[in-house]
Amino acid sequence: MKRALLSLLVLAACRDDHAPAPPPPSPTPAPTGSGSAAPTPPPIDAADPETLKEHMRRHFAAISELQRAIARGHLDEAKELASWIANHAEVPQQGWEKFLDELHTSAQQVANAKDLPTAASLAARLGRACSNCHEARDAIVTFAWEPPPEEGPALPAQMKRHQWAAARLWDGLVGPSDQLWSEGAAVLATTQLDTAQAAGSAGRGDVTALAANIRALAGRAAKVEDHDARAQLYGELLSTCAGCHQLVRPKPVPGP
Amino acid sequence: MRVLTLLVIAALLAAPSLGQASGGDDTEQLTINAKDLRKYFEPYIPGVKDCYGTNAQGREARGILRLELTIHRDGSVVRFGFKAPGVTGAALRRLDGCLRTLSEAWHFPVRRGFTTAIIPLQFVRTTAPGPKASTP
Repeated sequence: MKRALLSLLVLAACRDDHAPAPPPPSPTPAPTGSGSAAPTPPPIDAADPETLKEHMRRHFAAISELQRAIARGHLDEAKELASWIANHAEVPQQGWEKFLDELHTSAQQVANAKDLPTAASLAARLGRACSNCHEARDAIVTFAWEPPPEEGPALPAQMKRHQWAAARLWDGLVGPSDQLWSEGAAVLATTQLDTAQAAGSAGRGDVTALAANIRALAGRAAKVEDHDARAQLYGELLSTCAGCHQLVRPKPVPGP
Repeated sequence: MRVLTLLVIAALLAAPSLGQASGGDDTEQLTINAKDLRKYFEPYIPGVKDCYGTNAQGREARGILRLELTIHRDGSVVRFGFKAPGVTGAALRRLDGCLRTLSEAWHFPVRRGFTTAIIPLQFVRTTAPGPKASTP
């Protein structure tokens, strides 16, 4: 019995509460000018649990915004955010070192990425670094959720469903959550895109091929259960999204 | 005689507090945060423990249960899923039925939007001496 109680105490000591809050509407890291060093947020007071919670929220917001920046074609913005994640002062918490190292290493690799496809695949590793930590530390994780947008024949409605599905895949990767991952994959695999409207002056054949590739990747995503494999697949998806967006909008669209 | 005891080690119970729980319905907030979720889920843990202890008795059961809930803005659970590594076949179906029935009665505070929540639980099966245990 003594051994059982000891197990209880050891495991209880490993608990933490660093669950990410729902992503705020805008990223919190301070922007940097061209060529400047990575932004340096105020120092974190580790003794203040509210500050720790806020810090984790900033992590999640920055990483989520980073991968959205890649999808929109903003490599510079993604690299700035990655640089902030890699270099900002962390809250020292016992047992977190391994996971923070993984996070910082992946972020530094994104910051050094030469192109969008490379940044996309590396950004997915950032999400996996989060989920590794969540799993190891038994974190309770919550996300904002909404039902999928209605299907429609017009491109804006179709792209909203794509964005919704990509967000669920991302949440499913970071959670990690099988439920969110699966519903994201299902919606992405079945949403048709009006490629003629999407292509505009770009080659319709290329856009059609990329849209088909997205559906194929989503179909594969629905069958993958291993979390590392999901991260790799998410990187491919993000890279394909970014490639398509670059094709139809050579000049990146502004952020939200 | 020895009896099996199932200990539940829930992140909900053991985690230190971060900030204040809001304590109830709040339609200004978009979602339920981890703090509030912990507070409102705590009374449901004994039922979950009973479901797991009764239905996940095989040696392959690893004592890990990850619940995934989608919570409506009115506080009810609109979608329920879980992972229980090592629990398979008929035991898994019984566990699913037991937990799903429980989840229909769970209620969380009202929020402006839907929340998805991932709640990890760990169980440790221990062998404890019973009332008639003999000493060597």
